[in-house]
Amino acid sequence: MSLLSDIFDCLRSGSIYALISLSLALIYVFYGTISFINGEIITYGIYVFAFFYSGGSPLFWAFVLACVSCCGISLLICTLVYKPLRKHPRHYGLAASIGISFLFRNLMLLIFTPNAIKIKSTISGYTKIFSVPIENTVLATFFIFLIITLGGYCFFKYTKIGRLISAVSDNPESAMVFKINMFSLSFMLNLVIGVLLAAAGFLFSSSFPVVDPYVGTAIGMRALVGAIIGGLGLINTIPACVPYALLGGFSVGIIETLAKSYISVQASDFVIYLILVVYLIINYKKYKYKTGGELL
Amino acid sequence: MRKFFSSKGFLLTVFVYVVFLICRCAGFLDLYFQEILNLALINVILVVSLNVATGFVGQLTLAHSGFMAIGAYLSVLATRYLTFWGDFRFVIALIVAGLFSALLAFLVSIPAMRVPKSFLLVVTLGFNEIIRNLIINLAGSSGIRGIPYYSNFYVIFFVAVLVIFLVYLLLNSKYGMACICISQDEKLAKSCGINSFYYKIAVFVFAAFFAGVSGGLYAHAVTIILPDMFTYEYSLELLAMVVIGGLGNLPGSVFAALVLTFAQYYFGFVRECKFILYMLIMIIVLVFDPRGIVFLIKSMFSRRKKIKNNKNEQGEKIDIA
Repeated sequence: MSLLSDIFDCLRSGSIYALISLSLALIYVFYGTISFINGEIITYGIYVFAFFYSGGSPLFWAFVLACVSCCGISLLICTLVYKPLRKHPRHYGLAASIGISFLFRNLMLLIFTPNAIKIKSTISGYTKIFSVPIENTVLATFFIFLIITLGGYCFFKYTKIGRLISAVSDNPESAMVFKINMFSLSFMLNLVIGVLLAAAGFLFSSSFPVVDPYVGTAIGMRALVGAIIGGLGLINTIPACVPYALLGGFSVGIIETLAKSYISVQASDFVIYLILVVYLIINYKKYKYKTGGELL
Repeated sequence: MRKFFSSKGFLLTVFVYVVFLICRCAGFLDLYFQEILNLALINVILVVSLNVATGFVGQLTLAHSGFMAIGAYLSVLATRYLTFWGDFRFVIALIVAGLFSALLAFLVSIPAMRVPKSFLLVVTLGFNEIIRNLIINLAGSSGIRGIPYYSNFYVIFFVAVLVIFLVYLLLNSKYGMACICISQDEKLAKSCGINSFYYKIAVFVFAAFFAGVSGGLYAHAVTIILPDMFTYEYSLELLAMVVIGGLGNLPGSVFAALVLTFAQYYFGFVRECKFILYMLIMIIVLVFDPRGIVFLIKSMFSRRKKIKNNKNEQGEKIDIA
């Protein structure tokens, strides 16, 4: 029974991390910066969702409003900060990224106060499949994860806008020669990222219905580890990076759950970062030859 | 070196020192101002040494306050248990603190410099927390009280001038040029035969040495140290000062450290929402002019004037259609 519940926990946290690490990989490929802000955007999305949902609006509209607000914040940050910093050396963008993340967290502490808020439960109960009781949150998480990832992959692979986005991320200079409108493309990309982050926040809050301004930070960092393991910086084209990022995020979820249940809860963070450092040191040569010694 | 002694900065330093002495003897300065000035000068040491690693070579590190913590605790131990040499033991304590944190930085940097640049940030952040937790476990979270007051204005001023002088020498040598080349384009630097791995480690160790020294100064100026003084948020504050002063801009970082520390202690609202203000200014500086806030303000005013006079930078007339 404990093995079974472990598998369900793996599914749940893996799906959430996979969504976030996909968003990280997309931002990295398009803007060339590792974004530390995504965890804070998730927290913001959960707050917006909780505000509207406990205010009495239906589940779907609360989720849509959370998506819209996440998309707006992401678009604002990407166009105002990441895009102008593309022409500078990479560490400028990194410093800006971690600065925004702290700025945003402190703003949220100021606005929402550090007290935790309880969210009205969204999904509850059990479903029996082959006489095995499964929590509805696990099912919903996995289902939404599948829909979003399949939709995202098809969007980048088969629609015209998705193809244009991948073209721009591949070679921005020659895309400008062909008069591709960069702003509308970055708007569409941030729409996708906003939906991914809001969905991750919604799924997280359906499993753990308490929110405070520090909730997203830890998830964001672990998802970043997932994105790195999934080849951030090595695979720099958009439809190709999608499955790898998902796999990386999912594997972080699995590692975290196993470490939590077989070692201890406090050791899970340590195990994840240890794996990251070992992975980076082993693959140092790859990064060196692909990106000149730096993860771009 | 002759260039340094005839430069504007050196003359300004001497002028400030003399003015301070006169003001102090005449009794213009209250005790609060003197204490804040000491803290501001310690911040100058930290920010200038961090600027070498972050601004000139482009290694974003967040472990600076961790090295500072090591320096503070070790120097306190040294002044407590070295019974001979009278007050000269403080100098020994500072050197021991600096050397030990430099050694630790060297040990950390061998794996840390192999990690890609972006993740150096996370690795050093983790290292800072490891140091803090180790100190809590070894020395207790209540910290150390009753430390003798050794670091007066003269000592701190001397160390600050020493750091600035060393960084100035470094910048105007061929090693400084190599550092700047690495920060701008590492591939190009390697193709010119610059061993970037060696430079990165050397600069990291240099920064950590002065972080340790300033930790010792800090401990003997405040006379109380707690492990919670040295969180990674303090490192981030220092990083913000570096960026606001300008990445790779030596006078800028001195200016930023002095102004921001004084603003923090003299205006309550700055201390209340310190991170919001610092980060906001830091992002504005990074996006609009990464050379520093002084250049940003200057370019803002000069652009307005230029458009008024229809002249470009060389003073030639331009037509505005």
